[in-house]
Amino acid sequence: MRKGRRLLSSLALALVLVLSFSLPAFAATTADVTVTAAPSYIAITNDPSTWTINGISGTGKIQPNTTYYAKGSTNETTPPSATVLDAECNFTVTNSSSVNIDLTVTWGAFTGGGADMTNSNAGTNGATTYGAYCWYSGMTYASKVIVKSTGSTAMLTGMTPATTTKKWGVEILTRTDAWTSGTSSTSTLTITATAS
Amino acid sequence: MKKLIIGLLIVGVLLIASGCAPSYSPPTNTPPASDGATASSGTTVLPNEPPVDRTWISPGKVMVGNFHPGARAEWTMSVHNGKDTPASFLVAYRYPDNVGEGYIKPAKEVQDWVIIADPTPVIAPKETKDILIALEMPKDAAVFAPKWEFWISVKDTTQTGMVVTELCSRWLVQMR
Repeated sequence: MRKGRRLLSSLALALVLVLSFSLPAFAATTADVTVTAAPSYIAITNDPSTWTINGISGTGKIQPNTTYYAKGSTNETTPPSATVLDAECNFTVTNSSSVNIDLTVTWGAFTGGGADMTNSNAGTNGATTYGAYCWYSGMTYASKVIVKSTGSTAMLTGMTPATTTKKWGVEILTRTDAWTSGTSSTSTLTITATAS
Repeated sequence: MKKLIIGLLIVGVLLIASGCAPSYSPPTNTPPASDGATASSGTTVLPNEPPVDRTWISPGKVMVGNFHPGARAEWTMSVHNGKDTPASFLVAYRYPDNVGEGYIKPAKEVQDWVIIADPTPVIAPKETKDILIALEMPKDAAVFAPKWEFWISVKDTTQTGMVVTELCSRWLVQMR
């Protein structure tokens, strides 16, 4: 009888120990996954959808190892002012979003021609790589943002719904090696809007 | 006495078994209840009428809380075609360029956890399409960070020219 009691108290103690370990697990399962979203919409457009670098078209060629600035003029080899002006930006983003947004610019590889080059993602050029930056009207040009193929820092953050347009531009430092032929290469420049 | 001991043993074994089993909680969509602006179906109801002649997505941000291996979170994303012509879109998982403070970029395998009901919708002019997005983390997946972020990218694939726009919905995930 005494032996049975001792066994019983040992079991009860073991049970208390088991409970103390298992209770947190029970508590954890009671926390349901939650999914919430504030009412909002994101909407931007961009114009123009092309950049004729330095006004060169047809049989004209851009030069290797040269920086071109998307200023929307025929002289795109000089940088914008210390504080970028509207007139020095080739592109205009129109914002119709209901919440503050961030704008991020990414630029892929140039392929399919004699000026193929990949983005160095560092703002510098190399034998087969180009460097790129972006900027917007009103910002200090020295604070320009490196444009990468992926993983760029946002060019502009916290753009309010009240800001319906914003002018912006990019610059490209072409590769150091000469072009391999006169045929043009193409690439895609993407401007991405996300909620801030 | 014997019966009591056996009973206690059974209870103990059951408790151990339940404590060792992987915990699972059923997925739920919990829309914010305070402002009443979000429907219980997990679809965002917008506060004001978005422009019909602009291409837009909604919502801009989805917050997932108490997430864990084996769990599933869903939200319906709306994509609107503001053009006068039909447009095809690409809705895809997007590794984020940048993330919110306190969040890190996702592990490579996260792209396999995202299910998009219709990744290539063709939307009629001025029409809106609702697309279910689900995040499903396998039971045996490792928790790589307490807070992480990924994006759902929406691109109008009928855009021409070298400069294109992309709209992204941010998913901010907080693990349990």
